[in-house]
Amino acid sequence: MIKEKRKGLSLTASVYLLAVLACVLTFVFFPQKSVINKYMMKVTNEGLIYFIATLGLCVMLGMGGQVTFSTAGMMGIGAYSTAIATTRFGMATLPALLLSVVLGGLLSFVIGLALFRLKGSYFSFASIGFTTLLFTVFSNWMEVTGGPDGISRIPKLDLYFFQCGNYYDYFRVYFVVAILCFLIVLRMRRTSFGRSLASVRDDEIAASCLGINTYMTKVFSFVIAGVFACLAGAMYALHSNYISPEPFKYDQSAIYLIMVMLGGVDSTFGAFIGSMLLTILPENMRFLKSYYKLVYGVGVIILMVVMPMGIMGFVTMLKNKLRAYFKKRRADAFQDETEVAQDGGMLT
Amino acid sequence: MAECLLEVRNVNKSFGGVVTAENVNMTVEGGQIRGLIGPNGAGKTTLLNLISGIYEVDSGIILFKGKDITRLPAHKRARLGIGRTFQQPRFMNRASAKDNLKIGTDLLNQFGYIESFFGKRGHNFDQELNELLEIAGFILDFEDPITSLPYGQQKLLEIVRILLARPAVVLVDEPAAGLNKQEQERAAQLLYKAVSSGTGVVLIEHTMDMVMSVCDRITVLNFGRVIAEGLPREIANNKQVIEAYLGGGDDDA
Repeated sequence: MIKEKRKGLSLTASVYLLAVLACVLTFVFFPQKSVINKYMMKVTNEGLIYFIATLGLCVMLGMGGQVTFSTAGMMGIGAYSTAIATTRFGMATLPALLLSVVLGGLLSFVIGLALFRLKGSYFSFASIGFTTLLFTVFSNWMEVTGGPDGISRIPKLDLYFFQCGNYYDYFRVYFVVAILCFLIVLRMRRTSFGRSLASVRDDEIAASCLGINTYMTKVFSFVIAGVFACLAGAMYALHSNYISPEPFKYDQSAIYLIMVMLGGVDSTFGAFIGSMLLTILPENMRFLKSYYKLVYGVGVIILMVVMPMGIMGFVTMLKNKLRAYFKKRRADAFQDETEVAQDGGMLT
Repeated sequence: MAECLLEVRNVNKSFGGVVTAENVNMTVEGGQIRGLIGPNGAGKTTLLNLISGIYEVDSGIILFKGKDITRLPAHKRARLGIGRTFQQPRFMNRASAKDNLKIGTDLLNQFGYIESFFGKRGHNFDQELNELLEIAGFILDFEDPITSLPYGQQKLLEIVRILLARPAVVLVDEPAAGLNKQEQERAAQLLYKAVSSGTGVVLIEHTMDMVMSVCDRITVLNFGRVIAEGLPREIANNKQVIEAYLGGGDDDA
């Protein structure tokens, strides 16, 4: 027998509703100079961009269990292709952004096919190589990428019906995009793809015996991560209107990984918490000056020891414990009742 | 006789110098339970791994419904209808019971990932699941993490999961190991249920009363070779089999 399902609005439906509500409210009311200053708005926008990039990691690492360092590199692909398309070829910003996303998808498909010949940590090392290679290209191919000088004067995002003039406008658009991506990943968890990935993560042999093509499933997850990273990169280029190779270096990938781990690998919302915390917190920790890295490093170690599954993982653990506790109490109460009934029977 | 679903013909497999399958022949028919027994290390699980495609055979062929599947990868064999369970239940440890069961129905539906994303509905498996769980004999809270279930329930649930995919042949590896008498009976009932719908079952088991009462035919392996094949009562009286299990005398020396 299956326990009866709960009635009322399901969790997913309420999440969707909340998300739409948040979108509308933010678009209309939130970003005002009186609420948040220009600099923090910029930082928040960058947080949103990183969030989109980490969503890709959330799919790969959280759902698929594959550690990849390719995020920064793929962001670079997105950023540079958008920048080149708009500045050299004079494309409008929106088509350039879409083009770079498609390009990123195709590239990561081809690279994924090659890299997933390797398994586990060998794959991770190969992805470091891939990112380093991309970084070398970005910083040395002077004619195309401008080398260390980078590309400047990237036009501002133009959605045809809405022009982004300042960081506050950007926030509106990026917040909606981030929510959309968030919902896509949330939905992915409940599809056969999400389940396939989860079973690849936990047991590849069992997965293949259940009809899952483990190799292609991993490649698809790499493509999805690549698409998200490219989108984030393109958004980054349009947001800061100047790009250099530096933010697309391999160590930046490690930061994205930490964002996902901090938020909780199993949780989509965790990626949001992690990316926001790691973008905004450093700004508020400026007073630590050069000790910042020290505090940061110790913080990461403590986090991994105390909450190996991240903040959301910690929350879920508490939830499960409570659930088990209440279940036990209910069962005990039921047993007591029956015992009392039996005792009563004995007495009379 | 029912049609022959699965045929293993002259299959050989060795790991380095260790021969784990030597000219093994076996057939599985629809609606029949084929027992596969033998002492520890006889190559029973290896044979299942060869059939399900985890290992590749060194030589010999494997036919499924008359089609040669010897070189197919594991996931393609599973999609054709060869399901299996494992000695130790293998689930997605970080997922709920529901998601773990749905993997079985995903195998039946065989949707592309994109179709699934846009919410295409597959077979409604609620009723089937209810029936199977009733046979398995426990109440399942769908949202429970799979690791919170007792071992016995996990083992039964693994059989339920693969039966949800309605495979043509199920390979069951020691379903009764670690279960109590009642749960063993339930596992057997689940297999009967599969057989009644025309599925062929290969059963590896050490619990002799279960093997003898459940199986239609039995194949006995020892050191990778088939040493006997036949009806349960023939096997029970087979001298070679008894020797393999209890240790042979020196009479043939």
